[in-house]
Amino acid sequence: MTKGEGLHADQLYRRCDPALLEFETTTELPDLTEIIGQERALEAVRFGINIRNSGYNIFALGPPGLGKHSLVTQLLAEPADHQPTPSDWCYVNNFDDPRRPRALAMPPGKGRALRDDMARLIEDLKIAIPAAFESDEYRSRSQEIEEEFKERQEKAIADIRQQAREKDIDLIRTPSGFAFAPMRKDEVISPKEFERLPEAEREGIAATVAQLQEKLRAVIRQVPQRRQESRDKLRTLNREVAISAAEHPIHKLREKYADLPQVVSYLDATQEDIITNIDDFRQQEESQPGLAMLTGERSPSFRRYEVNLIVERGADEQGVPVLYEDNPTYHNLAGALEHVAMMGALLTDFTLIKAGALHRANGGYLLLDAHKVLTQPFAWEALKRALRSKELRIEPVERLMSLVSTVSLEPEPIPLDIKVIILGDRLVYYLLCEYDPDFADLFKVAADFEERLERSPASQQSFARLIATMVRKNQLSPFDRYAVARIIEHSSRISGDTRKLSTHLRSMADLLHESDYFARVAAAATVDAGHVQQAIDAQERRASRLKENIQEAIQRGSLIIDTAGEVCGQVNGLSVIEMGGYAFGVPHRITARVWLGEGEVIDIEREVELGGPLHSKGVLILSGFLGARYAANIPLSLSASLVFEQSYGEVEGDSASSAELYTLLSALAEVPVNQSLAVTGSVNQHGEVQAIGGVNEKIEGFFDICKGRGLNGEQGVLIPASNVENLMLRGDVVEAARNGRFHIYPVETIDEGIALLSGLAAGEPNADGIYPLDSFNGRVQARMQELAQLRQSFADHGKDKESL
Amino acid sequence: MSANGDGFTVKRILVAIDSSSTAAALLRPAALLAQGFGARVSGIFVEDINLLHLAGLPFARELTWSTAVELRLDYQRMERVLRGCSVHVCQAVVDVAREIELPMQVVRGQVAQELLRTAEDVDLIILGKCGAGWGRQIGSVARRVLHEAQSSVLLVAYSPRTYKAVMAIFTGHDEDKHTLSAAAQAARLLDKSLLVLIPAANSEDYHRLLDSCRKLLGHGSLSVTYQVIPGVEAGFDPHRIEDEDVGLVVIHAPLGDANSMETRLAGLAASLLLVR
Repeated sequence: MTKGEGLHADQLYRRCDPALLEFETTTELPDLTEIIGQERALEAVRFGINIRNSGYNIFALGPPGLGKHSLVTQLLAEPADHQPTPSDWCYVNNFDDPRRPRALAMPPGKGRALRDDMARLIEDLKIAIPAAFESDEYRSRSQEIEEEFKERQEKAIADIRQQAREKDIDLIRTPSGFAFAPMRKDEVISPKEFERLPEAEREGIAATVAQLQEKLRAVIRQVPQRRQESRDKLRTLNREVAISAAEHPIHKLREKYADLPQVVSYLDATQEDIITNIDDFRQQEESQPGLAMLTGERSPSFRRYEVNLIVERGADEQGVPVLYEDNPTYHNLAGALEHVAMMGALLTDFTLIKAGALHRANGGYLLLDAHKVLTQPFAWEALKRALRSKELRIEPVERLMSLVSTVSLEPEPIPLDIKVIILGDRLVYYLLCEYDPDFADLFKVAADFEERLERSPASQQSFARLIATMVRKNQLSPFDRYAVARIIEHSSRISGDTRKLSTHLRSMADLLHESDYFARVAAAATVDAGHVQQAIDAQERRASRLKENIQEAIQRGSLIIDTAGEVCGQVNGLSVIEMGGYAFGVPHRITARVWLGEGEVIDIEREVELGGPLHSKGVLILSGFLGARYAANIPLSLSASLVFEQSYGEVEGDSASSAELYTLLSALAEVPVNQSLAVTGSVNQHGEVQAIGGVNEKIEGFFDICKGRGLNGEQGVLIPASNVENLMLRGDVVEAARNGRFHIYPVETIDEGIALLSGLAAGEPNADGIYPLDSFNGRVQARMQELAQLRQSFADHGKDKESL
Repeated sequence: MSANGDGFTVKRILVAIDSSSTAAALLRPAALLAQGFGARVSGIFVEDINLLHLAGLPFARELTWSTAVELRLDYQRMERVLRGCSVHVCQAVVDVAREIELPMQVVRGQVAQELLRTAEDVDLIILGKCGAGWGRQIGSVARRVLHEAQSSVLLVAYSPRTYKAVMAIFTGHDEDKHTLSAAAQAARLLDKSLLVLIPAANSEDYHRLLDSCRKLLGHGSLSVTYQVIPGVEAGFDPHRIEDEDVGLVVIHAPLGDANSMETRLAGLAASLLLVR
């Protein structure tokens, strides 16, 4: 290749021939049902969905915008629809231990029925039970018990009183009990009268009183026991009446739910509790909630008979749930226990248990965003705990942290059968693999999403159908095939490879929307290539403030870049700046100075700690190349310094190492290089030029500067030959190349490059490794030898002195 | 209580309160009747001299009611206890009878005697049917008041149950007309219904008595039911009364006839209003 040629324009851009697209507009294309370009991820997700073993949860990894979410949802839709719908879940009171509410699994749709049945039952009993206790039967039976007690009591006392009266002694009431007193004419004998009685009579009276008192004492001692007997009888009666009132309606429910033993045992417990607490039903109207609150008593509450339906499957729900929890806080994920404030205290009961996403997705699939679940406090640990233990436990955060000790509950755990699919960045995945020991156990399936897919006629056709599908789904105007072709080309450019297409669905959707916008502005019925180009240009323009500032600085000479003439030890290098997803190329002046020395190449960037390790590596490679090629047998007697002029930030990467080498060689050989060319590419120790990234942006960056100053037909860029496949250059660059106003030179070796830059042949070494004197390499070699001799002479001079 | 005409009116009421625990049961009807009739009402608590006599006897012992503990009695202690009781009773009166003025007096003596003496110029004495704990028999004090008082007597039964009806017997005699009027007044003031028992040998008698009864009662808001008792001389069946939810029996009880009446009313749990 000689100077002035370079790559043909057709090599700078791989067009998508609209003729190969067999349609006029996207309306003709059927929807794309399969998923393109994600075979690996698809296989992984399918595998993860179908394998039933535990721990096979899925982590879908890839940059955001690839359509992971919609792809996973789409894949789940089919298996989810064909699996049996999982249970409804209710929490009910545990009558034995209210702190541990019981969990009831109900067949789908039955949870609501049970809840309503229970509510109706309690309403019915609130009427039926008081009615039973107001019946004549109950009243007469309870009065009978009371009468019996009173009669027995009265009779016993009356008997003793009768005995006393026969002896002129009466039983009289004192304020706190009974006493026997001798009587005269209905009055108690006064002490004075008593004194006047004969002693024998007095003693007789005292003895009789003592006897009577003994008998009375026996009777009174029996009172508590009789009272207790009577109370027991009343209790038995109450129980009988309660059972008769409550049993029938509860039994009807028991029959209805006979196939659910858990529910039947709950109904049994409910019946027992209702009968035990029958007074709640009898006194409901008299209860005064305000007073009860003041006295600290809890008013009879019927809440304990409620059914808290926490997970309900709708009657029309088919298959298993597929749920995406957008806000996976701890409580949204694992469920919560709410509290109500009462008299300054926080109270809770089983009716305040709230389901989390894990409850709702139980039996099915739960999609979570890795970043969100990891940034919510406790959420990640809760998720792992649930997956590991395969059960759902509701534990309030405050108790988890032992922060407060309010009255709390320990609801019975619910068995968990769930497949969790986490969507996240690769970095997150790798970090979790590295630092979270549980992660590998719980998320055994990695579905790695591809950012690029092979570009072939077939895939281009599929891609067109994908565009058609998205156009229809988003209700955009139809795209004609030229527009589609342009989008395919742009996708290839985004992927940075002529043989690939980008699978980044979000940026494609954005482009479709924006193209549609420009078509609508122009009142066009279909979107054509012009609208797509407008959208691309507009995207570029919106993002290009910094790029334009830098270019302006170059055009005004603040940043010095030559685009014409020849200078020794000075080459235009190219770098890429990427900010906020937008990348652009910027030319840099690289200069080198050489002097006698001991073989060290000073990388000024590294000295001031602005050069990254990869950049330093590139510069060190230069020393290796220099020494081995030109001074294999003589000491490398030069010192050189290399710098990116006017660079005030970090320099990283080795893509400028070939440019640095050209600069150094030019300085050594004292041969000027052409400033109308810019250089990119890394170099190895053998002088081979290697591929770099961002080649399109770099070329366009230099082109824009040249174009701004007026293309002189000399200008161009040297790129590694292996980067030719990445060329998807802007239209104006391609056009300039086609007209011979701008040149792209693919370069395989340093020799090729230096020939282009200096206009001198590089030269081949003879058998002794000596280059022809008039070649570029010859000049370098000669200069090296010169320097070595110079150094030798310095050394000799020193020896002479020493010998003197 | 004036017996002239058919109207039953009360101008002065005496409430005999025996302990603070039963004060409310006595004062509630007292207040309602006093307000209804526009009568003046006063209260009395008698410190029972018998208790003091008893306490002075050398062998006097007291068996406590609920615990059956035997306590030695002496005069000073009994005096203290009685004083305490009277303070409590007066306090209970203040607490319960808020809406009416009710002057209390405390005297010492034989209870029945003191009551009768104080009640010389009143129309109605209200007192407990028996001492608490004595069951449903009419107590000795009540019996003596019943036998000797010139005025009508309301004997209040200390049973906690609520009731719906006031009951009276109507035989068509003049004194029964007066009794019926009293029963109707009491039912109205206590916000109860009225049950009239009519002893009749045949249906002709019954309808005649029924008509006369209706005429006497007139048309009012009072809810009245009538029941026939077959046979003119049929007595009360206490159980029938209990079944009908009767809480107050109003009966004509002329002086001197108390014995037969006491037998007839034996075992009845309801309160009694004896009209004379």
